[in-house]
Amino acid sequence: MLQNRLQQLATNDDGFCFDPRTGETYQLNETAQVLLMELKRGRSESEAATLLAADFGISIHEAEADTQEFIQLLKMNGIA
Amino acid sequence: MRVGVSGMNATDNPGPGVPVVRSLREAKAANYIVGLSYDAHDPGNYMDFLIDRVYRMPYPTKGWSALSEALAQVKKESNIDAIIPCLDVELPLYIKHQDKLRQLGIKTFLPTEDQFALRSKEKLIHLCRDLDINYPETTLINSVEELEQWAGSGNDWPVFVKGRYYKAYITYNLAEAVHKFTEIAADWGLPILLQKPTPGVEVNLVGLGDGEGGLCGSVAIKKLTTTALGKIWTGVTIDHPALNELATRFVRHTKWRGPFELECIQSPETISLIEINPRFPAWVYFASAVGINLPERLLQLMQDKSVDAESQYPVGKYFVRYTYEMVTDISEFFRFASSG
Amino acid sequence: MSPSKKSVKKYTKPSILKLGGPLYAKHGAASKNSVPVRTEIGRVPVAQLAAEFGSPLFVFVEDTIRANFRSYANVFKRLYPKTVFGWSYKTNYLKAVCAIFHEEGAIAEVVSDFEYEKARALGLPGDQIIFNGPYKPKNALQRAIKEKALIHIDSIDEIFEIENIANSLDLEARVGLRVNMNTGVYPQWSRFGLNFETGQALAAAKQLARSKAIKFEGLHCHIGTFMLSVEAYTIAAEKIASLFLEIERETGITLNYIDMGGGFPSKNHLKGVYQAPEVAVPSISEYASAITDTLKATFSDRELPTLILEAGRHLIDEAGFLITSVVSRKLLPDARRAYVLDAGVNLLYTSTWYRPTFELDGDEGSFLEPAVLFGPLCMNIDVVDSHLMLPPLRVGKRLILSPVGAYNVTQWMQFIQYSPAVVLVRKTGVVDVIRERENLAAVEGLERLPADLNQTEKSFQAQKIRKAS
Repeated sequence: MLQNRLQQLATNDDGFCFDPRTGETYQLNETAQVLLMELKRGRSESEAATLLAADFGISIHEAEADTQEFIQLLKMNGIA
Repeated sequence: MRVGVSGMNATDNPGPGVPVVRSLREAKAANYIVGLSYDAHDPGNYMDFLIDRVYRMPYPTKGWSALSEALAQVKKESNIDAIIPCLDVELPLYIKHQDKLRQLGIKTFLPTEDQFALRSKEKLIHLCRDLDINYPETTLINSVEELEQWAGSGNDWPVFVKGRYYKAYITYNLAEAVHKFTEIAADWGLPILLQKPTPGVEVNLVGLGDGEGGLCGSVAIKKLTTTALGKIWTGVTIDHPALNELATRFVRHTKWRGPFELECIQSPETISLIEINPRFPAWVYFASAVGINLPERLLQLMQDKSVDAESQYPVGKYFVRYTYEMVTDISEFFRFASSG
Repeated sequence: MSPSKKSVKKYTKPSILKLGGPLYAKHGAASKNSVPVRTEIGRVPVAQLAAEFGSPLFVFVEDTIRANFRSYANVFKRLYPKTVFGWSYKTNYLKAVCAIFHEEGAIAEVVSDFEYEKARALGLPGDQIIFNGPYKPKNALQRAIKEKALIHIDSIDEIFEIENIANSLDLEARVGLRVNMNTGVYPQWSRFGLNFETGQALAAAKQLARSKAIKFEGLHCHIGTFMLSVEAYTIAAEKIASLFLEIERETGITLNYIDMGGGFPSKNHLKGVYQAPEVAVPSISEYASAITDTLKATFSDRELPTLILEAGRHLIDEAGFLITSVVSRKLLPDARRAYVLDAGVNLLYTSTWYRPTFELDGDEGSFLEPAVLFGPLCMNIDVVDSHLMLPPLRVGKRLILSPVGAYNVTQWMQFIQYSPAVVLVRKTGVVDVIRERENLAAVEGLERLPADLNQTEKSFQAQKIRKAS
């Protein structure tokens, strides 16, 4: 369900994102772009967090908390 | 000449940038024009038929260091020779730093800090006294308490509540005035002016001062209809000797350097000065279209070229502002949102 | 996201910003802005200061204090050699700060018996103290009269009290008269001293001139604080100078000084002012010219009176910094980012009226999101800033606020937190603690617990035993 919704989002290389359903536009920072890409690919929340931790060399706890918060942010923005 | 122009907000509350650019284009006065925009939504950003390139600028509240950094970038990439700043809030910064702009290789033609201060809304009453012209009764206030005091001391409604830079609303009671006070103060700061309406007909004049007391052309108009925000919708050129004379006196007295707009009220007996804007008005293209192209003359002044000071224009020319739509892709918006 | 790039990329917390919202419109798009970075204060690394003295931490820079004072004093001295500078104690009365100003040649301007005692304890002779303020207790007045301090009269009642004290001591009190007036700015400070326009001031002056117990030496005014209008000083100088001449004419006495007070702004951002301080705040030369030109014009045919000034904020604000750290982060229900800092309105009394510059101790990129900064108090009003654009910050990130040198370390409040240490970066680069971080002993030092209430531990033990049985 989340993945389907995210699939609809059109993003560009600068981190701009257009939601064709609502017409809203967003800008994502680099970390958020990485997370969005992984979630679009169908990774689970914990898989995405693991990748984030590995990629940036941060603790798995911080990665999990941030991934969870990012999904929360998507929901608050009506995207997910 | 390669010129930067600000005020790309050709919206329902239009900035003068797009009309200035159009004037320059039609006179072939500039061969490369850069738009300096504050918002990715500004319509001017998308007018590639008028403007060669658009940059997004830091807000004036960020101060000179942010502005100079941005301008150095514009200079480096687009090699502009001159800038015509068109918005009230950015003028104090540009005026204060004209010398530094010159060092960057960017010409301007702006009033001095002293000239600029003379026509500030807080001080206009003194200038009117010097020019021997009427000025409507005006009170400066800094708080709602003062507004209440003003209302409680027998003053009549209605009254204009005016911002220091932008916005003026007519209000008919204290509640309305308080509402507008808060609204304007939140956006544009203090003080706020309370100005008694002057009975009569509003007439306007755009002009250009050469900095030595001379007037390099002017056009007087009457706004026939305005939008809900008080912006001209239709208008007509007029021949108003008293207004022309006032413009000549103003320029001679202050040695005004650069563009200006006089907003006056003509009653049967007398003329009152309401406001002096230290820049081109958004209707400046009207003057260009009737043969007095002041943006073009401004560039001539910057280049020390001889300037046509002709002010003969046909009276009874009719101006209609209209809306028009453009369609592009959302990626164009992203382009301006990211770098401009 | 290839594993080979492991640990090389700097991590930033994920952030998503909706374009076109109200904050976006106010600040422009995220990528065009950046938050300034400050890694050093007075050439000492911020990280070192925080590691050594903790966070939050107030930091003052000696060089800046001295440089500010010298450039200000030079401007006035050049235009008006007969200028005497008073240091406004209430702006920042830490001993080290006052000592620097006194070393630079400033006398003390105090507004309470506490401040008077501070100046004397610092070794300043009484005749180098100007004693202002609406309430000067009897014992403080006695001491000030004995020590020949210059007392500025705030009310008619005070004239009677000073006469009584001086008579009882058989001494002559050195006195000036504080005058308030309309200078065309709002709010008019009409509560201090006696009014010019209504003639109160002249009447009081006549009373002072008649008094045998009083040596009436000059006039004082202080028209407001953070005055952005230079013209107001011209008007004030005109009015006070005309009163000066009128008093001399009508009473036959000779006055010898005019004290124009202070109120000169710093490069701080007063809320409600749109333009940046560099545009909104006139230079000190403009104020100096306004005052001294007026005095020179008014006293063109006689000896110039001494000009006394009592600046505070203008001299110290920009020399003070506050280092504070992010202690936690959260997401508000409206998707705004919020941070809790270890410094709040308890330490930033002036944040009600001024918006300081927020700097970060390292570059966190140019992707900015709207953020709310909360202080550490368990109080809803403890908001340091409600609409700042910041990059996503991790816990422990340090922010540096400035200018905060004026009024904050005198007006900070004692509420549930220990006040932080205050340090001074010396000319030499050495960092001296000029006020220790508070501790329990310091805060409770003046408390007294009645002996019969000093049983808390025992009563808890007794309760435990009762419950167990």
